[in-house]
Amino acid sequence: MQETEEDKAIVFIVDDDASVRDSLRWLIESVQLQVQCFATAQEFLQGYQSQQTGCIVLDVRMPGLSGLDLQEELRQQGFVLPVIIITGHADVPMAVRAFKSGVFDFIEKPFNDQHLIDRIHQAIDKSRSQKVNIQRWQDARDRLLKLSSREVQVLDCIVSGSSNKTMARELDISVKTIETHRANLMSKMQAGSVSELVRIALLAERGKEG
Amino acid sequence: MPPLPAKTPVSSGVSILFVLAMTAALLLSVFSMPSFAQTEGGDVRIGVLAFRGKEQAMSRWQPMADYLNRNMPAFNFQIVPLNMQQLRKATAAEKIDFVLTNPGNYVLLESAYGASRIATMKRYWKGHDYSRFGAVIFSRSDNTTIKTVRDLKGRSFMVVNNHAFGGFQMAWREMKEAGIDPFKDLAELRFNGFPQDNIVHSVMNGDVDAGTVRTGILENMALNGKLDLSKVRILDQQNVEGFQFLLSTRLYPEWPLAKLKHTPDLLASRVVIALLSAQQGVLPTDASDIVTWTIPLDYSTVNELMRELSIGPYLPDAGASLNKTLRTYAHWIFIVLAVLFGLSLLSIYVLRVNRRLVDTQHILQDEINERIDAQERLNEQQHFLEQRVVERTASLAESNEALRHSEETLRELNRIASLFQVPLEEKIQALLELGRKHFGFSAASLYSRNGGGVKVLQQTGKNPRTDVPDLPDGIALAEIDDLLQNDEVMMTERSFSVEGEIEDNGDWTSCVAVKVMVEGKPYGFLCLADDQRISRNLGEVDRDILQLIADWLGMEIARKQVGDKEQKHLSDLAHVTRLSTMGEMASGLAHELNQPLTAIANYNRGCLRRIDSGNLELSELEAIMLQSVNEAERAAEIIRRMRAFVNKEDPHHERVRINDLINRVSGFLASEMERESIRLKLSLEDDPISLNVDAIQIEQVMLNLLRNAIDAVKTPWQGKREIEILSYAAKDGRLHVEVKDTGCGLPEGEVQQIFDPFYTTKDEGMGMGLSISRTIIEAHGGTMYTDVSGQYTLIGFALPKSTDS
Repeated sequence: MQETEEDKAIVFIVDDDASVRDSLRWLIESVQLQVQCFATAQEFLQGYQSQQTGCIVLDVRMPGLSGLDLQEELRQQGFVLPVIIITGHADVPMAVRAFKSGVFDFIEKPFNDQHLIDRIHQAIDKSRSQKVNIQRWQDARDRLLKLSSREVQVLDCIVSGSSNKTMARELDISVKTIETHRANLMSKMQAGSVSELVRIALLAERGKEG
Repeated sequence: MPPLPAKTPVSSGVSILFVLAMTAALLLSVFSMPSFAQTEGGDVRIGVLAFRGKEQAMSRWQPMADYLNRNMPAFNFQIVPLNMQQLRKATAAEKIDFVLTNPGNYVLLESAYGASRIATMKRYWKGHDYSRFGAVIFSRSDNTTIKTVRDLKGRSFMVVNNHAFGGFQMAWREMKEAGIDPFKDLAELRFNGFPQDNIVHSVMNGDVDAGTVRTGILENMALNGKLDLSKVRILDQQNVEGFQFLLSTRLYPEWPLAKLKHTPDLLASRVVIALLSAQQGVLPTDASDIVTWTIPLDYSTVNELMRELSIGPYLPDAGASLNKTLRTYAHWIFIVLAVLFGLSLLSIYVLRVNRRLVDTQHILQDEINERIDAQERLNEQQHFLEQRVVERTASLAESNEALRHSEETLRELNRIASLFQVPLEEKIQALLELGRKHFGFSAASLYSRNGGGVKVLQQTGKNPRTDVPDLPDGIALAEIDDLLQNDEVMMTERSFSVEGEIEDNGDWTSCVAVKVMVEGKPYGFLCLADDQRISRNLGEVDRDILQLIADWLGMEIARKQVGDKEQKHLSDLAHVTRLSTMGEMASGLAHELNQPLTAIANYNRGCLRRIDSGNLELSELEAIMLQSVNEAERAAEIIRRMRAFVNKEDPHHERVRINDLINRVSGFLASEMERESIRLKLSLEDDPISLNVDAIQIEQVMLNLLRNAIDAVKTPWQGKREIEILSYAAKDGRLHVEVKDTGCGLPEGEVQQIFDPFYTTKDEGMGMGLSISRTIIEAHGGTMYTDVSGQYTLIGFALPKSTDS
């Protein structure tokens, strides 16, 4: 991943109505955002890149896979781009379903262009910060994966606040050995203190949501 | 043994006995010595009853034998004097060839042995021959107590003997008729024997009170001076013309000469010829007893006597000869009797069995007779019934024909009445024509009340005065009004007879009218008329038919009136539902409008932003403006389509192709279905069927059905999203249109309610769609129906195809 590309956020538009799709591109491009258009959800699923920052603008009513269906599908695939759903007529159940599945926003047509553009910018910001968090999580995860199984056991004990003695008794090894593992552990996890170790460990555990 | 007289009806038992008796008789005859008189010559024996001894008989009859011998030299005629028993025996044994005896004895021999008389004797007395004789019953004239035969009761009476024909039996018969049994009622019945003169002497001497002798005795004695006739009283004296002698009894034929059964006929006839041709005086020698012969007389009177007295052949038992026979053939008889006894026992048994059989047979025969009688009675009954059936059938056939005619009319009436979507005028025309044809009139008219007068609404058939649509001649409107006031079928007493005839001089000579009511109010009347006399008998059924036609006319007119109103109402309703449909579709329409509006806004805002930031390129702008205009056009098109759909049009029936309607409606909702990813399948009838319907209304029904189907399959429905529209012509002659969806279906148990007003399963629905749809379909003479299964919900309607005439 390159630093230069990080700023180039892309707005993905998925709408079956060609004129709506085209006019949205015209509008969004007027604020110097990059736009990619797809006529159907299927097309989008085939064409997107998971590392890309940006956001998705969806029409809720589409033949085939609907906007909501697509959003749920993306979430299951671990795709993290924020989704803004545009709907012609919103009913309450549909909105509830949308928010439950983690939609960034739910905008009714006709909409205020400034509101849409603001929400797109906010979504892109979220996408960017999400990308940092993901980087951190992935780092912590990578470090965690380097630990031996004994070191993982020792780490679990540290996180749960056990003393070296207790650990030695529980794991049936000498305190000295515990101390050796502990030193290796701190080094592998690149933690300067126990509290930093715990934070990194929790981050790795918590996953991408953090 | 003599044969038993076979008097009883022949039954098997009796006939057995009879045969046995005959057999016994034949056995006995073996011992006899029959005399065989020859036809050519030989001895001929004449048996003579010698009632006064053999010498007297010989002397009396030898001259006759001599005469015959002279006339027939080849023969030797002999007189054989015999007493009565000997005579009988000789006859039975065929020892004599001829017999000469008294009539009583002859009758006995005739019946027993088949002796047959060939001549009857005549006696001469004072210049006359007498072939008949009788008896005289007499007493002394000085005995005043005896004046009739009846007076003889309790008196003494003298006769010759009980075999004497003239000497007793003749008198016996008369006595019996007078109620006197000579063997019981007399003080004494004295037998004198021959000569009879002694009887006369005894009576005259007073030895007996009365006596009887044959006719001629008294006269002969008087002639010889032996009797004074004045001292004699003749009892019950009879006077027979041509008969000179004193007489108390009936007359009987004189002695006959008889041939026997074995005697050759030729011989007999030669004897007869000889005797009949003999001159008077040739035969007898005695001057007082001059005998000649004549043709044989009828001896039935003698028979009658015998029968009345039960003597001779009628004697219950065979008599004295039996004793002798018994003695002669005792051993044979014993054997025969023994056999007979055994056989008799057998016969009795057989008889009893037979009797029972006969009885049973009688019972059976009676039963058979009864059955035959019953059968005959049945046959009579059946015949009677058949007759009745034939009569009834004939009368039934007649009324049947009338009924069949009525039935045809009724069926036609029903057909006309059930025609749908036929203009009122055509229906009235058909009804009038039906009435005209049924009653055989030349014209039928429907008159309507019109202010003070009437006007012809419609007319059918030949009208002689088409240009003057007026009432039949001779009938004033007031009259008809008056008549129609009360009567249902107008048959005026004056102008019309009950048979529907009218005697009038006008153009119309026959007329029948019936009042037509519309919704309970007098509207006018139906009038059948003819310029010929129609002599048709109006029966109950005919009146009913006429009334029925009038009722239908009234109903059709009423329906038309109501129909016009209803049509308007229906049209309003359809419009309301349409608007309500539009309401229900508002969100969909909003979305549809949103699309172009959003696009336009986006294009314009994009332009504005570019103008603000100063990087708007004109070359780009033109394309965007064009896009924007297109979107505005698109919005306008949607609005136009909506307005066209909502626009209320006047209800009118037109010929439309049902498939066109289906395509129009499905096209209207196509975008919504596309948005909802609903697959629409059209399975339409190939044959382009057009119906005469109110297109807007039928379209509305289809729109309702399709909308319901879409609502059933769209979000939040997670199942299969398919809708199928079918149209087909069914065998029942109706066109079916069905909308079938795979949606959520109907709540269980509510299938029947879906056509009810205000029934709905939708939150925002009014519940009027299907209710109004059904009203519309039924107004078109069709029906709506549902078919619900686990997989699909089907709602359809069927319209009569026959309406497109």
